Amino acid sequence: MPFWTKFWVVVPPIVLLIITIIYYIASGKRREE
Amino acid sequence: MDPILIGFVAYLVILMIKGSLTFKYNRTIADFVLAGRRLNAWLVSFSERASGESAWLLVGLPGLALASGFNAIWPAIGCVSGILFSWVFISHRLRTQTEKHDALTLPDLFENRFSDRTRLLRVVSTVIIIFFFTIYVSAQFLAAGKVLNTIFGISQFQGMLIGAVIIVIYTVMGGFFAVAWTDLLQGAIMVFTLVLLPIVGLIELGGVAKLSAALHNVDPAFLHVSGGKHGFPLMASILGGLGIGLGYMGQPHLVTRFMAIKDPSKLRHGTLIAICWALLAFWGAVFIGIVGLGLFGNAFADPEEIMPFMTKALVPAGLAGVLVSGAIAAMMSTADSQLLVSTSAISRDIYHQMMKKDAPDKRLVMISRVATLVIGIIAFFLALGAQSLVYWLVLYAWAGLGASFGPALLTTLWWKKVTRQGVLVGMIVGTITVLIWYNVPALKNSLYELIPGFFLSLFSIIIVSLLTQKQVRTS
Repeated sequence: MPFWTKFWVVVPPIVLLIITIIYYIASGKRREE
Repeated sequence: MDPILIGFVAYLVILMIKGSLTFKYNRTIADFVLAGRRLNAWLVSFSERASGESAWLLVGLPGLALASGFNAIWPAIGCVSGILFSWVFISHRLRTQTEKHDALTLPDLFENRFSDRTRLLRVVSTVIIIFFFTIYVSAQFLAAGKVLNTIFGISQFQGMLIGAVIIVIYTVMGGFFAVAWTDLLQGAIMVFTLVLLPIVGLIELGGVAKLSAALHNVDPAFLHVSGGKHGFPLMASILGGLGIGLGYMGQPHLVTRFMAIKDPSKLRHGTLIAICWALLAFWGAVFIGIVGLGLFGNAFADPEEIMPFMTKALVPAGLAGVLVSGAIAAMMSTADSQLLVSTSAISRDIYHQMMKKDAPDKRLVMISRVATLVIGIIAFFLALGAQSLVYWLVLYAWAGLGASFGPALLTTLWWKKVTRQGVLVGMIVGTITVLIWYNVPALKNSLYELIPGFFLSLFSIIIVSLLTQKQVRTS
């Protein structure tokens, strides 16, 4: 399987999940403050 | 008796029970159109996700992947990004601002936020909602007829009638409570179907290396995310795929879900649940088409047959009943939410706010129930008598709503300088751009109409708001 196919299939969901988790943690901290 | 039929009938019975159990919760119009803002994060996130994805996700996206290979990854990336944007930037502010401005609907929010005494914002947004959503519901009824016809061999008319009657009955009975609870079940069935089917297919095929070899044999272009395209057509296909995600923040039947959560701080849990659901569902949908391509090739007359075909070929009959119900669940969960938005436009935006401000709660709930029934009947007859008109109009619905409400909502929530005139012009510019762009072949072939519609609407809101700032300050 070509590299760019693997890249676009694997990387975006990981990035989107990481952004979501960062938002989840950051908004939780904001709430505590 | 056919196990698929038993599974489907059991599913319909559960929907009806849920509708009748939630009947008693509806004491006020806020209960009927917004569940009295009493829902938890699981209900809100599953309701938003199940309503957001129609049969397109279960049937259409796998079909696209079957026809174009890994090129179908772009709409998946675009959609999940759009869903994430909507949860992060719209959900919390919309929930808190609608409560602050005593708004149960988007037209309520626009009118109250801008103190619009001319009522133009309410009228324009209500007309757009009633028009697009009645057509939308009608299109879902047509899809129900088609799916039930394919699965059980009943006539399309009978399929439409069953789908419409069930949806209308449980929505009339339970309002938003019934819709949210049934969405929870429907969302669970959808994601189960989308995750299980590609895994079963991949096991049948013998792993990723075999999939890669099989795709290469069908056509090497299917292995590339470019789909074998180069230059401008490649850019247009990538942008078009990603651009679908711009539509999420402007869909009233989705953003209304955010307004129904009891505790706004719990929207962060909702975001996490919704994005996990979306990632599993969208990647699953793409891989149904990809694995199907590896297993069966691309010789289907209609690529959208791949999902039901794969289910019947790979899964035991009992389980196939559950998986096929996933496609019907996707359609029903979208139709009930759209029906409820049309209902709120009539009972809240027109009757309660423009005709009878002092109407008692009991009458408002009754009016809402009658409005649901009437819109359901109109949508059914539209599906019956004006199929081609419905198919034609529904093509504009996602982009039209996305371009008219998306930028208006975003600026209303985030930009202090936005004015009533700016939002009004933006809504009209967004809708007109989509209509014109779609109908000029040279434009349509170059770029998906939502992208120019969204940005032209956004720019016109900014420009008109800046131009009318002084006028607002003076008045």
